[in-house]
Amino acid sequence: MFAISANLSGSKQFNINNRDDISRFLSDLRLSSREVLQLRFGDENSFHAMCFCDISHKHQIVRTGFDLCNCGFILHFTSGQTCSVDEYIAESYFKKYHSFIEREFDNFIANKIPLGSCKLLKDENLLMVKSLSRNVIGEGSHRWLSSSMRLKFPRELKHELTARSCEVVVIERLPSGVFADPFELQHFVQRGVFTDASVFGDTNLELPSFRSNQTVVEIHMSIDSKVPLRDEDESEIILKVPLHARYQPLGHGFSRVEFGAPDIFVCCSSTEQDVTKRLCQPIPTSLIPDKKGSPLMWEIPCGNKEHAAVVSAVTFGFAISTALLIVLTSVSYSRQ
Amino acid sequence: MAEITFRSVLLLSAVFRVVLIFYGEWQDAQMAVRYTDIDYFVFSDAAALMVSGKSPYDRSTYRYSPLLAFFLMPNSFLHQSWGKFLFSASDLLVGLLIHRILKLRGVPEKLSTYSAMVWLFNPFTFTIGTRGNCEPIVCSMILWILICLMKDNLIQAAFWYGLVVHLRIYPIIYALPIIILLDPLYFQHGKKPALGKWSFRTSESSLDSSNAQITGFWNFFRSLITWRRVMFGILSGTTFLILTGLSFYLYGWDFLHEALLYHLTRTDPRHNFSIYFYHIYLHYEHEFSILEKLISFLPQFIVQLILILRFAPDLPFCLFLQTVAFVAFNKVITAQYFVWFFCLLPLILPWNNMRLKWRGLACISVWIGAQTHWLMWGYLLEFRGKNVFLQLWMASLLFMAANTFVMINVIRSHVFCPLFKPSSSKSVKDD
Repeated sequence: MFAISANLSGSKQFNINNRDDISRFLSDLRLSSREVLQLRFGDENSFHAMCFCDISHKHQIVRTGFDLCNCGFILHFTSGQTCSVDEYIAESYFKKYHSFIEREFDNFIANKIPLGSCKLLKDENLLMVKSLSRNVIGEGSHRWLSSSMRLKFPRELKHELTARSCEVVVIERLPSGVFADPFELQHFVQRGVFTDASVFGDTNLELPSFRSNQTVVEIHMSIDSKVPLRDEDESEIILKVPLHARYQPLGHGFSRVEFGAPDIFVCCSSTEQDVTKRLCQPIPTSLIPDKKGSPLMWEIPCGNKEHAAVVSAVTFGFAISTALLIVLTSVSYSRQ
Repeated sequence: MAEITFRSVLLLSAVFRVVLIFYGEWQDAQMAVRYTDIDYFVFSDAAALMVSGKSPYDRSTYRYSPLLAFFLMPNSFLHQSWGKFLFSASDLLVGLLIHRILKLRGVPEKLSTYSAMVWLFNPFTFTIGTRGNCEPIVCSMILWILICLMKDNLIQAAFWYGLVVHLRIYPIIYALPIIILLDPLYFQHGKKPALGKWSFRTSESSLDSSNAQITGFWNFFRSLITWRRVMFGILSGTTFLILTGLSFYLYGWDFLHEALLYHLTRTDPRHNFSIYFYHIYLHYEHEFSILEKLISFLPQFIVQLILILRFAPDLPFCLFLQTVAFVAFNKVITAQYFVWFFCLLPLILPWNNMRLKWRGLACISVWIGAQTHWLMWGYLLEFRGKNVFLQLWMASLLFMAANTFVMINVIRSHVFCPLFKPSSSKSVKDD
């Protein structure tokens, strides 16, 4: 794997194969604190991954690698390439790892989505998300996570996009206090609200949250009907994921659940000579110029630990008293 | 005014249920909130899995016997509402059987019809079958077992009893009263047992069958070893083992865990009517010790035992009280459990002295009121997100108190009438 650093001070090429190489590479960089480090990963002739790192985090990057960067792959529309992915992006992750570990997942999204070697498109020709507005709608234990995006379609690609069927894929990493019901999502797919939906990770719907792992929800929503008309460039898409609260660990009053940023991809399938190919382009949320509504919070009522002794005592006392009452009534009942 | 015959009542109920099923299909398709119960989709999916040769337990939250999925297989190739029609038909069958049992016990036609209406026109009842809940099937089996016992069809009774315990575990609490009922005192050689008649309820001489009193621990157990009792025990036990064994052979440990062990060890911390729910939630992080589990089982055990020992000869009454107590003292109470005793309620009404005016109405309103009160707090917790755990818990205590209030009143206003009369009595036999 090569890393090419490209920024205002020029580009440098490095050979990176492990974490030590990364730390050496970063510590060698001389950059001013206001620069954004743009890293491109790839082969000699083309690169197929790009990372943007805020250089003020340089020391953390040296320690932890590219976790704090936003990395993505480049979508290529040239035909004849064999860049394709599984039906569900998150599925390949869960096939390999059985539970959800945040860092590994980041790593997976950044590095392991197989894209092979694809030729590069120019930057301006990428499909972009101009703004992202996130919200938790509703009251009580059943709410909706709503993501509203403005998509910018490059003129040259509009024709190509309508020729293929494209969809926006949003991958939400759910905090452990909430879950998505896979059967409910299937019902939405049947009703045509989503083109596809799936839940990965721990899908036990009944466990309270201190016993279950995190889950990942992947929603596909078609943008075919959203490709703007001739003179327009932008179009809006709203995606609402129904979520339910789990029973929270005990605390005082309310338990706070925080939502992070989603991973957004645009995937398009094309069929040529009976071969269907699917290409996915990640849209790094850090690149989205206009982001509203973060951090997202959901407050869920939780039981109070201090109640435990009183509740148990009264519950059992009550049970025994009512039992005795019934016993007394039965025993004193005369059969005549 | 046209006379209310049982036939017209049954017909009206049938038509109404068919209408509801069609309405349910419409609402499912048109509105976001579905009429059909979530469990029905679980059954249908499990049945579809079975049709394609896979295990129904691949469907998560399918926690029933594979027999249920088997009977719902036509959902896949006939119509998705087949199950609802099946359940509503059992629902109507329950009404029919209630009427039959009451007639067998000599209750006048009008009173029998009114009692059956308590089941057929109960809003709870007609929604449960049309929404796709499987409880009416269990209820119809229990009533059929009662009829078989009354007609001395012991083999049939034992077979259905083994089957119903395989389907739903709770009827196991009926085992002891049935065994006690099969007292040789009632059975003369070659003749069916004489049934206690309704018309004699106020003038019955003391039929206090001494077998219900413990004349000594060993005597009690020795008296259990009689021909009929042993036969019943062996036949029902064998039926249960064959069905369970077959299911285990076909579906392995999945079946055992989901269909049996789950129900026996279920501790659901999510809110429900039970008084134990908050206690379970507050202690969920650490496992419950054996001592704690025993203590919570003790009230249930004592109540069941005393009810059986006092009321077993009047079997329908005993079963009703046992079921109410079982549900009330259970660790988890969901609304569908109420059907278990609703189907037995019409069987005891003709023997109950409570007047609807004031005492009867008091019982009904107290019970419904406590339930509504709980539902209000439940709504605030689940749909408004307010922290009302303590209030909800107190509402479940209140609901428990309401259940106890109703039970005590029902016991005190009941006229004891054993199902069977000792065969040496000179009463006129029915046919």
